[in-house]
Amino acid sequence: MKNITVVETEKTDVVTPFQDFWRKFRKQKTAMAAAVFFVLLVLIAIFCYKIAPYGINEYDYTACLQGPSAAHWFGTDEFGRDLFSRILCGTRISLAVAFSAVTLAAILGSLIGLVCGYVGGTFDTAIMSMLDVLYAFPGLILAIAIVAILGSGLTNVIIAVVIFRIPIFARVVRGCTLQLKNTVYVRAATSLGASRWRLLVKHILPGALPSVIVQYSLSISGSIMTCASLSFLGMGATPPTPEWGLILSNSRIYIYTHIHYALYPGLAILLTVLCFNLLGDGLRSALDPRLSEQ
Amino acid sequence: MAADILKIEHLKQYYPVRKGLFGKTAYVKALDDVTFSVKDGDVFGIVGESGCGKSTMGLTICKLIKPTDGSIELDGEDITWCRGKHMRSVRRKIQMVFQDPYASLNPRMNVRQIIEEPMIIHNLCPNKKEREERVVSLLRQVGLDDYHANRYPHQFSGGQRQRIGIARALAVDPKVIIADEPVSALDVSIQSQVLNLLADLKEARNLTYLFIAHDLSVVEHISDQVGVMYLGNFVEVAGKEELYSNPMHPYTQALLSAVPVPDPEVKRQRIILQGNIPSPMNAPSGCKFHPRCAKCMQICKEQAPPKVKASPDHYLFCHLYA
Repeated sequence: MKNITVVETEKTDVVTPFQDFWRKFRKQKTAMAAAVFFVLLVLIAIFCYKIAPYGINEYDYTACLQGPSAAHWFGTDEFGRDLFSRILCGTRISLAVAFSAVTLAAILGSLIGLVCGYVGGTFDTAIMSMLDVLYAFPGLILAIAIVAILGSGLTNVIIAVVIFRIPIFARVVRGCTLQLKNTVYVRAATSLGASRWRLLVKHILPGALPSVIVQYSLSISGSIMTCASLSFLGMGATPPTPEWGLILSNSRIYIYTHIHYALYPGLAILLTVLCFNLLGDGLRSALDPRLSEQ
Repeated sequence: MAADILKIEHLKQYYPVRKGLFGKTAYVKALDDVTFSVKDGDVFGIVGESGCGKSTMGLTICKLIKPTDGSIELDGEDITWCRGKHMRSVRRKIQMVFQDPYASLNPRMNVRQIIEEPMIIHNLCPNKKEREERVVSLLRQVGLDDYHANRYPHQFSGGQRQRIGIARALAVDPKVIIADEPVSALDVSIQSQVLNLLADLKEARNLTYLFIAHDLSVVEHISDQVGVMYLGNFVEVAGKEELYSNPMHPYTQALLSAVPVPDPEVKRQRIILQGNIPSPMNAPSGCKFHPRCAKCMQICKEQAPPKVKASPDHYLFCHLYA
């Protein structure tokens, strides 16, 4: 071939989308702090039973309702159980409930959103209207209603969280799908002969993923709140499970006399929820296509 | 004489537009009874102003939108109503290069994945190493280097991106490439590079182009045949030299008079068209061009113009020569 022009560019390093994300994420100090705290939470959730100084159901009637001390860092409850150990082990329950429920909701919701957005028409309208009805209820009230029907217990809390989180993910993914299915590169892939499945999985889903990740992180914090709230109301975990909301619920009759009993589980919920919210915000600013495209 | 590789007959693309809930359905006639053919190894240029249906033509022939009526024959095979697996095999023969090189490449895939994709879809090189080599050879053919393969589209300039788009189209060894304004989004200095690349590739691979553009000098540079479109159909089709030296249709004459000449001393007479292009939803009666035509006659308002053959490969639709 004659007079071919080789385009010369500098051989700079290749920046993958992940590196780009990491560079933007690292710049945000609060988000990094949240990420460190998140890693800590996960480690606690994994090793809680190994590192807890006392058993979660170790009754000691000689040391009921004691304040924080060297022996009991967070004090003890009305049965003399060590609050520090219980809160530590509660991490696993909260995270397990939140992660399993939100993961399931994210997968189902994304699938529904993807198909609805791509197929469109009456099918889309019918499914999305149904989800909108669910979406119209405040989350906690819907969760209470679902648990009231199914009965209390952590499994039912998970089911309740999945049901009211599905519409949120479906909406987010459907929006992205509607936007992406009309892009030129999706059209280009069609002209190459790509199947529908390939278009959805290879071209549309990766575009929707950043929004799903952000929503995932924010949903985790919401789900931890829901789980704790339901347990607080007596509809979630049953005693003697060391669930944070349940501990908080048991502490409320002692709130005027033994403030430490309510303070520490409350703090645990607060910090965890804050961690996931900050993490979500950080992910959003690092992944937002409007900020990162150019 | 080469055979016709692409044969379009009575192609129609109507978009229904409903006015109100119970209103009558009107149609936007984006393509209205288009008939033409492209010879194997030729470059057929399509020009026309915005909204005349050029891009719709490209998309319809590439079967990215379903035609309303008519037939598209590619390489002796009627592909008008092809679907599914069969359509996939047809897509190996006809590929498209898109107008906007910024939007036509998936920002989340690197260049290797982009160029590899058609090979994976059509199962051309099941061997990963072979595929890799092919990607590199395609990159070289379009004037890029092998180390570009790991980069992402946002790391390239417009001209380079268009080269990537061309490499992707070439990956399946197509016979026909529909180039929908491939250079109009590029700087003028880059335009000629990409045009020369397209011309070289055509020679090397014996390709046929359907080249859509709104820039007459770009079309003149690359085409063998040129079709001038107005409101959903051709008004004049001729060989390049013939059309540029002897434009017969008043619209073609007006268009050609607007091409800038790179000499400030030259005085030329411009034919200024009156008004805007009418809406394709309610096109004018008779000859669609009559409200803007300087040589409009009574008959133009009433009757659609006949096809006039000026020479074997020069025909136009105009009452002036009937």
